[in-house]
Order: sequence, then C-alpha cells, then structure tokens
Amino acid sequence: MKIDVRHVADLAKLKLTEDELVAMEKDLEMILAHIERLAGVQVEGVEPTFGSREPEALRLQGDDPRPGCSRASMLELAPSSKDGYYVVPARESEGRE
Amino acid sequence: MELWELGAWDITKKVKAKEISAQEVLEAHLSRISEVDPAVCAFLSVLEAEARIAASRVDAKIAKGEDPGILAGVPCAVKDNLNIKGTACTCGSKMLENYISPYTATAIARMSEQGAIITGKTNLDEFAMGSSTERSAFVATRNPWDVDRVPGGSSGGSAAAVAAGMSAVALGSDTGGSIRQPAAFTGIVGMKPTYGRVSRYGLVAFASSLDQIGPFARDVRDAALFMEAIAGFDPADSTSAERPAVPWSKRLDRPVKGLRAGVPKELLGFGVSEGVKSAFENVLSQMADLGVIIEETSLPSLAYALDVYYVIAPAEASSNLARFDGVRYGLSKRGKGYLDMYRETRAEGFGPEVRRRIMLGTFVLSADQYDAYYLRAAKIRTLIRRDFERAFQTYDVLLSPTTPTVAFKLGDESGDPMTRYLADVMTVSANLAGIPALSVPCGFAEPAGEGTSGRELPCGLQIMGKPFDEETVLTVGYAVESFAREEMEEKSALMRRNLILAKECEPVD
Repeated sequence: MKIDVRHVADLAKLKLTEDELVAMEKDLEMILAHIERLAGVQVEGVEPTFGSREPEALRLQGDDPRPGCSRASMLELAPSSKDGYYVVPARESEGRE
Repeated sequence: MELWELGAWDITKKVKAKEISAQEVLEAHLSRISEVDPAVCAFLSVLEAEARIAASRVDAKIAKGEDPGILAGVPCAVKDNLNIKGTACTCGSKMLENYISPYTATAIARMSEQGAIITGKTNLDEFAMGSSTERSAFVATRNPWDVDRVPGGSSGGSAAAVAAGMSAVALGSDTGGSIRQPAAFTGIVGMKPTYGRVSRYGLVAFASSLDQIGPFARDVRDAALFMEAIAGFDPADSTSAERPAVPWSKRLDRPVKGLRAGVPKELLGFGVSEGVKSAFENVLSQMADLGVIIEETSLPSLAYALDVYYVIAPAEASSNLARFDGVRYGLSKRGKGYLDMYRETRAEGFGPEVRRRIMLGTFVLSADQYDAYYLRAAKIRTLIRRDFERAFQTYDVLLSPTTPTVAFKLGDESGDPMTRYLADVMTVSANLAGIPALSVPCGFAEPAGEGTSGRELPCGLQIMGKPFDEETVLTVGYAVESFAREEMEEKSALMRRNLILAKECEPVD
C-alpha cells in the first residue's frame, strides 16, 4: 500500500520535516501491512458498530440550565483573547493555498 | 505494619473507628512518595496542600459524627488525563504542559465526596497512547519490581504508585488495555468497567467509543470498593448508563462452584510466553479444583481484534485531537497565518507516537480509504460483539492471560510499531465489545529470552464478563487472588522494602 503522507499530513494539519515524512511513511506502511488482513474478512450484510452502547440507549441532556464553566474562565485558558473573543492570526497573511 | 502498607478497606475502617486519622494516613503516604518516587517516577505532580485540606475535612466529619463516605481517608493517585479543577492536567504532553483544568471530572468528584484523598497526578503515555509509559513527554515511569523495566501503560504511573505503596488505590483509563496491562505488569488489580458504567465526563478523550475510567488496587475488594464510589449514571456523559452502583465489595465471597468459564483459543495464539502460559494454566487448574467448569472455546473474530482496534482507535483519536489547534487552550505557536498556527502548534505539541496515530487515523478516515479501512473495521467490530454475545450464552466469564509476556525492559523496542502494539493483543477486544474486564495477579514468570536470571516478574489473569456483570467478574477475581495471596504478599513486601535502595530515574531527553 502506497501512502501519500504529504497529503495525509496536510489533512491532519501536522507540519512534518522531510525526514519525518520519510520515517512516517515507513511506519504507516508497516502498520497497514498488518491491517491488510482485514480485507479478507467476510463482512457482506454486516452492519457497522460505531459506538459501545446501543444508539437507542443514548440521550441528549435536558434543556435545563446548570452551573458550568464561565466565559471568563474559558478565555483565561486561551493563548490570546480580546474583548471576549479568541484572537487568531489573520487569513489575509496566509497567501494563496 | 507501616500506614502506607494498608489497603483502602482497612484504612476506611480504621479511620472511621478513630484508630488512626486521615491526616496520619496521608502523611505516611506523602513521606513514602518522597522516599521512593525519585526511583519510580510515577507522579507528575503531588497535590500536598489540597490533600492535606481534604484529609482534615474527613477527620473533621468523623469528629462531628457525620458520615465521611465509603473511601474515608483513602489516598488515591489520579492519571493525569482526568481533570481536577484548578490543577494541571498535562496528559503527558507538551501540548498541555501549562494547562490548568477549569472543571472536575465526575469520577473525581464522586470519590472525593466519598472521602478519598487525591494525592497527585500520575504519569502516562502521551494522551494515553502507548503500553509502556515511556511515551510521556516528561519522564519514563519505572516498574517497582525492577526499575530497569516498564510498568506497562498507558496508566503506568497509577499502577506503579499503587504497586510501590505510594497510594492505596489509583484511577486510570483504559482504551485498549491501559488499566489491565500495567496492573498485570506490576502485580496489582486493575479493572476496566462496562462501557457506560463510569462517567467519562472530565476524562480527556482518546477514543470515545472505547475509553473507560477504572480503578487500580492491591486487592480485589479494594478495587470493588473504589468501583462503588465512582460508578453510576451521570447526565453529563451522553453514553452513561442509567444503572446505579452495586455494593460489589460486600458480594465477593459468593461461591464460584458451578460457574462456567470459557478460554478463547484465539487469544492463546499470540505468542504467549512459556512462563505466562504456565502461570495461566496453573490458575485454571486451581479454579477447576474450586468447581469452576472450564472449557476451551472459540471466538473466531478475536483473531482480528488488534487490527480492528488499530483502525478504530487512531480514527477516533485523530478526530478527538483535532481540538488542539492553538486557539482555545494549550500550546500555541503563531506562524504567519492561521493554517501555520495549526500545523506548527501540532508539530511541536505532539510527540512521535501521537503524531503517528493521528496520521494513521486521518488516513483510514480519508475519503478514498474510509470504506476499505474504517467502515470495514466497524463491521468486523460487530462480528466481535456477536462472538462475545454468543460465548456469553454458554459462559459466565471468559479467561485469558492479561498480557502475552511479563514486563519488558525500558527502551526495548523493535522498528515495527505493530510489534509494540502486540502488548495490547489480549485486552483490546473487551474495549471493542464494551464489556467489563479485570486483571488479577496470578503468579510469577521469568522473562522469556533473557536466560535463566532467576528473576521473576508478576503476571495477570484477565477475566471478561457480560455487559454490566461486574459482580461475577469481581467474584471470580476474588477467588483467584486467594490462590497466590501469600506468595504475592511476601514478594510484594520485599519488593517495596528494596525500592528504597533503587537509583533515581532520569528525565526523558
């Protein structure tokens, strides 16, 4: 299995050096070589399991207010904030993607 | 006997009877931590001031005649991926090195209400991804039985703290074996409850459909008592089950005669070492003597469990860890634009194993690969669940060794990541099926391939049960631990005494 690690790193928003990309490609190929075995399992007509509880057992919380974290305590954790908002670098400075 | 040698059951009994105070118990444990943790490196932070306040509160309650709770005065260490308001929660990662939790996990709040004293936060493989606790960004925790070996992982700090007598009990999380495998490697008890039994609110997510919080203890009764404190419905976790905790610790001496136990032959096909196999077979024969009906059985899909796990867990991890973007909390590297901020923050904040799993997860979820990998693995997960359902129509519990080998040496890694992942081969299927599973000490074995050093290390028996049938799992565990109790107590006491002589460990490069 050939993997386009550069593309995957881009999707994962991970900046990897050329050396790291080479090592990562090798690692992923070794892992996928084991996982390839799954291709031989007969799964026709089998429904997938995405969670560990039956979907009908899950429920949403009631729309009842209860104490939680304050806006101020959340913003205190932020690397940068101003006037009650998070501050991030501007899109304009990104150049063309 | 020193106060730090007492288990949770005895501590609460003595504290409630005013034979000893919670403060005395705490001080004994804090001294023990400063004495041996330099050699074990189980703790990332020790919460001395907070613990002293909590212990004095327990003593005050008792003085006033109020109920101090079922864990009154019990020192408890907590894996550093569980949030405690106002304290650090690093997840063993540079990404969260300076993060302070703004809220408290439900399991933590519940054990505190029951009088447990939180003594500190323990080391883990970064974001709970690993089986050795060497993948912490800060330090590699050592196995108290041999400080040149790993304690297992990812909850290795919690396991080592309990094994070394630095904490009576500890809290861990188990996504693919991260409680059971270190419990086996350090000769203690570790339990992964049924998915939904213990609220995950406040646990930093790794793979949300697999993660469960659970206890470490030096015996089954202490683990059961701890479970009573943390289990139960929580509206803050949408996957929490509406089932109350059970007084498990009082129901352990039910006879096991006539119970049916299956041994899935697929789990013994994964390179189980001779020593571990012989300890396992020895326990089986002693269980048979007690009247447990033991049969070999087959769950064919278990042969694929590890592969399924290494598709599903990284997929969920890559999605969960997308939140670390340098905007809201944690590390932030500001580049020239916001895409650079994401990429640089994540490259600098995540270590090699976390990056590898994010990449693997991103790959199996990508549009071209989703059907071939993620969807296919999710379907095979259904087959695994069905195999368990079928087996539990015949058997009350399923048994296997917890790990194929005893604890391996620090830095003992091959080039193929999948070889390392084999440490989880016995344990991942319980997470995929969402069932409860317990590891109890079941004897000692020599490490394979190291000649006849005469050095013996502990190994564990894994007991898996029906969903929400922790009671039977714990009952069987309670019977099993009695087989080797004397040998275990004698060797553990010697190990703990010798730890004082061990050399200090060094931080990770």
